[in-house]
Amino acid sequence: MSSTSQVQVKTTTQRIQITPARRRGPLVMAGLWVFLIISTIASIGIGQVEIEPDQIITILLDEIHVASPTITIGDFNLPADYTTVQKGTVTIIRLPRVILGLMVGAALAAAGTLIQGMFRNPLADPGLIGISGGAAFSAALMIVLGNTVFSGLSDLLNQFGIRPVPIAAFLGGIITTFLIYRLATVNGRTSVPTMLLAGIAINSLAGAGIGLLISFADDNQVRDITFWNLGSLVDVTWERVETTAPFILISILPMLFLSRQLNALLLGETEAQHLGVNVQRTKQAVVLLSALAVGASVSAAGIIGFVGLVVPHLVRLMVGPDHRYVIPGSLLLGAGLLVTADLAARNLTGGSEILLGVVTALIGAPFFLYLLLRDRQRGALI
Amino acid sequence: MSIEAKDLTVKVNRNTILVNQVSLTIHPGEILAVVGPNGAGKSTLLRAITGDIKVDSGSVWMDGQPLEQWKLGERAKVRAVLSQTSVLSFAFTVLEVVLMGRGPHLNGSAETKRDYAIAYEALAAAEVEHLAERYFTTLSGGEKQRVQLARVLAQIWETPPNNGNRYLFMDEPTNNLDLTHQHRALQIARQLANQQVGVMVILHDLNLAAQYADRIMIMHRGEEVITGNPCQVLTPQYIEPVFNIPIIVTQHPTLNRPLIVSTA
Repeated sequence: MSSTSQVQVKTTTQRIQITPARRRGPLVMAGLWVFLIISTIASIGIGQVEIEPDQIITILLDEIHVASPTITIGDFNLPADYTTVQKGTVTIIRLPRVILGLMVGAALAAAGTLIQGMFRNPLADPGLIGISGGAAFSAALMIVLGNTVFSGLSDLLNQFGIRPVPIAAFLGGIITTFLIYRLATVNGRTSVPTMLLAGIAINSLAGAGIGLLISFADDNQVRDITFWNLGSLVDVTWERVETTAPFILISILPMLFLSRQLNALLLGETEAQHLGVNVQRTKQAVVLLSALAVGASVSAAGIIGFVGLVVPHLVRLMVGPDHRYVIPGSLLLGAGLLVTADLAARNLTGGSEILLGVVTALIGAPFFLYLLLRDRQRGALI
Repeated sequence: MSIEAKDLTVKVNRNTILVNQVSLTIHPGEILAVVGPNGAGKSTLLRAITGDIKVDSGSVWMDGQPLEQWKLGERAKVRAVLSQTSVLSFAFTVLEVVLMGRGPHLNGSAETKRDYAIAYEALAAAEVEHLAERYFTTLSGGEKQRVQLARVLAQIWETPPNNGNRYLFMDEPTNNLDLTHQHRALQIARQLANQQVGVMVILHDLNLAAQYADRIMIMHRGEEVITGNPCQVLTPQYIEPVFNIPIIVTQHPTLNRPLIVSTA
């Protein structure tokens, strides 16, 4: 009788192992925090005006009117003396730049993680859902036609103290993403492969549009467009930090609560649904949050490539693909790497700065190729 | 209390009907096997009953409530579905994959020791304990299938606190499996049924269905041919026209079950 064939459940005698993510996660997170803090301090300290870590801490504490504790470890003395030039360099020039860099890096990397999770494809990046293409095109549109066709609009925006190009980039990115999302949604279900294809089509359309605009543009405008397309943190002001911060913070905080949904989604959409995940709502959240995060980043700093693609990979190499660690890890590593890349962009050449997007691509692309070659045998990129 | 599907119809368009007016009941404590040739509509029927695809007409009730009124999270605590395909391409370890089956029970917090213990029991039941630390992406097709089985087992391992029913759907669970593990998968289904889990399983092998199922439904061209216990259903009268192959039904040498032999 079949009812006699009982399943013998063997009692587990071996020591129960926890998952690699659980085992390594806390240590990796601590390491990433240390990297973030070191790269932040280095970014504030290194440049034409040198500022020591103890001076940075003293300046920051004085700024918020907190008395510095007295600590002496070798050359590190709190409170430290500093000059007004050093103080000005920190509070007016470097701090806003570094803070914006941290936010942009965190936003790009976390959005990359979400997009890769939703597409179940480690080669996806935020650009795939049209944010960067749409943003670059509308930025170019405003750069080239802002004084002629759209002069009324840009005058109006300027009156309200809104710079026309960043807002055009932000809205352009969001609108394009929404368009792609609508294109791929039929009867309330979003087809991820259709989104991918629509994204590719819209991106090349945006590229063609930018090419067209360039043929009408003068030399300065072409230069501005190039700046946008390669990203830069030159001349970041507190005002730009203040206008960008709300969008980035509002978008990255909810990302931390999508880990379980994204993990389940990696098993497949039906499987995720069977595990109790509202798949459609998760996809909406991913698209909305990444569009906001990347849109705000692009509008503040132009298109900075490779951060959204490479950072999630680096974090997965360290903790595996569990989003409960990959999302916070990407936020930390993205922030740290972006300010480090900006540090390099500022200081590698003596005179003028290299564009930030050039640095991230110069480091990111070869590294990515290395990952591809290394993982060819394993059959899967993690 | 059971899962009841009433007059389910699924169409691609007006002329192509995948499932036509099929009704069935999945009772707790029994295995219902659905058999039929390729393209008979078995998987479509399963996906309609699990709510994965929209039906053109008909309804599905689970424990007295229409399926669509169940919250996704609540449904996932008592009902698991093992599908045929596996798209996971990220390098999770086997243990991590099986722990995902505990997801519906976590309410957003981390897995407890109990969840780990259940995951290991499920791994042991599916005989993939030794693969716990391996990357899922590096496994063979059959090993992947067994890990997915362990994942759905972990999902409905425990009786719900309110002593409610549990259900398991399996779409060709024996695919890619060797003989031992084909039987293993169905023995697990049998054991769950003995614990009052209602199981619906799609099978290709009529003899496996004969050996393990309490009731069998034969499907052909989107329609129910007959449903009944193995001895009633697995006869040349029903099998030969549907599968278009001559057969002899005899008795299994040791089990009180029919045995189907092809004479083609």
